[in-house]
Amino acid sequence: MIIPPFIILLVTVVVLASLGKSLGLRQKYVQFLLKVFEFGRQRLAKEYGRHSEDTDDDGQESTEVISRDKLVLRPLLDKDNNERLGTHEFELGDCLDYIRTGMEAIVDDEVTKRFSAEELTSWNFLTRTNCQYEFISIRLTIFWVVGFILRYCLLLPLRILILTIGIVVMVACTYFVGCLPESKMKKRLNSCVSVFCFDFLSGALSLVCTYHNKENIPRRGICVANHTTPIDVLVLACDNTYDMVGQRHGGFLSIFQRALSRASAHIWFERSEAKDRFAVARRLREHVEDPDKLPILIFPEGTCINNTSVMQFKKGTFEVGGIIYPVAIKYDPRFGDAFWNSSKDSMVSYIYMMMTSWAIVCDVWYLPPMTKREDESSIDFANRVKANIARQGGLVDLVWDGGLKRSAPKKEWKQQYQQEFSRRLKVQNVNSEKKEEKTE
Amino acid sequence: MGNKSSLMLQEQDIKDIQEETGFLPGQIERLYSRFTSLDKGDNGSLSREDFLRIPELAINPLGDRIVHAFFKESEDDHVNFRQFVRVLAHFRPIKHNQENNLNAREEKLRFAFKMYDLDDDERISREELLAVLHMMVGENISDEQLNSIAERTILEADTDGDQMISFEEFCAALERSDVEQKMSIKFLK
Repeated sequence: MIIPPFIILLVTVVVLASLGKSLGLRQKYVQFLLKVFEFGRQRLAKEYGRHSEDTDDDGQESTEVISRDKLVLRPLLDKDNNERLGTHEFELGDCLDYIRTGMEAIVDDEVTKRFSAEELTSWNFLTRTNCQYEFISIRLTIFWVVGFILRYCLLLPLRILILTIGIVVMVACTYFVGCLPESKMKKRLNSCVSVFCFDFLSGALSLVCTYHNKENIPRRGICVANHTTPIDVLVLACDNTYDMVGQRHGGFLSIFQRALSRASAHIWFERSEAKDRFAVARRLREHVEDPDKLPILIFPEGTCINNTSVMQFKKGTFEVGGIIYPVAIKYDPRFGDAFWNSSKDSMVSYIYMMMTSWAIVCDVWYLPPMTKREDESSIDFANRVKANIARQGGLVDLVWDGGLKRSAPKKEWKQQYQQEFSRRLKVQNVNSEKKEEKTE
Repeated sequence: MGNKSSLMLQEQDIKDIQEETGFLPGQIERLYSRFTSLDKGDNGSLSREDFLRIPELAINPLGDRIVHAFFKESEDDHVNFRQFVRVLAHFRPIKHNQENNLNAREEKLRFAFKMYDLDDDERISREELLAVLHMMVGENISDEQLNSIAERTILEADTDGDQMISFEEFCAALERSDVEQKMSIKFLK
């Protein structure tokens, strides 16, 4: 009795999810949302203006606290600064610059704000990005309530349904493909199946992605991209097939890892093996040098950053050789913040938040391939690629290591500043002992 | 405009802080936003670890001393928002005839003086000067050379012959440095 309508619903949902993209349904949905947000922003400006005491012009909303145009401390990279050696007489005022830059860092530094969600300058009707805006005006409250009901009662169940079906379909398809013997047909089938499955799954998040410069799409070699969330993988895999590299996870992600591994040669590491750089590099090199294999997808930052900046690329990937295809991914924060703050949210609660956002909207730029020059070190090459990606995505290019999310900065960086100051300082007895400085 | 936390600061608090420090309400709210984002434990106060978690501060040779400046006033090794803003107020740029008792030239100088004067006896002794020198050069200069630098510095500044640098002597020594400029941060409206 209930079964036929249920099946009809199921089929409709499946068809919609798989076709949704080609019918342009998701794009229309996103356009509609933008109009609603614009209304909300104007409304808010009117209402909030009443409550605010500031008579300053709020035309350009900014979250910046200070502007810094002098000394900013960073991990120094070039140590040969031979000017002004040993000519400066110490003065009591020499500490002032360090004090000021220290205070500036306390008020606003480049790094700590990259590890938490970006602040929005206007509201997008999600309580997680507000300061109790919904109580400011009746109309806004109504909008928020309607939005809430839509998201939790309509979108969420649909999305969970799509996700479940999607996982089942993916596991089944990859199993089937995995049963085939190695052949060209298997590779082609793997590509079709992979793109179809990921595309289907992207319906679970209402993913709307615009791909630019598809003439640069990677066909082999290594593809590198900036990392914001595990959804980056979904975004890229909807358009192209990759072999993935990463640590073996437990839980939710392990389902995907195992399923994918049946159909193609993905590279998953145990944590212990990941520490052995040579083993990692060897496996990567083997994969890259095999002309039949798919391009590898790697995120050289090594951790999730909040999509306002690109942090240091680990040089390991860039030592392997081969062609590097850089890709820049930029999420539109108005529809839902895609950043995964792994110290704050578990994977499951993160997925839950993603599925109750409006949509995930992003832009992907495929950049022209790059190779290491003869006279370039791996680190310089990594920085060159990073600079390109940052420029294309409109992100801040940072020298700092994403690992600072969890660990303290290296002592060598402070020592470098001590060295630099010592070199400038005028000392008597030039031939007395100077300790050798150890460098990284 | 800001995040959840800015509404947890009461109107009256903002007014009081504005009176005491000269910061504008918008600036105070943004500073509060920064304060809460540094406060990882959500305690309403900051510990030394919270400060030193900022990588740029951790690699600053004088980082520990700077953090210490915030804790001078607190009794329980924690800094609340009032104390936080009060220290930062020293670095507000001076606008003619808008000086208050926190960011005047003399106050900025006193802040710098306290960087050296750890035991708060209103004098910078040779040991205190050596301590700061050591922080700034690390292991790169030998103790004898540092000693001679310290002695020369005291000799030049010491006018009353007590082998230590008093606050007045300190101010005189920094007469030519542009202290207002060096000890000011460009706070945005």
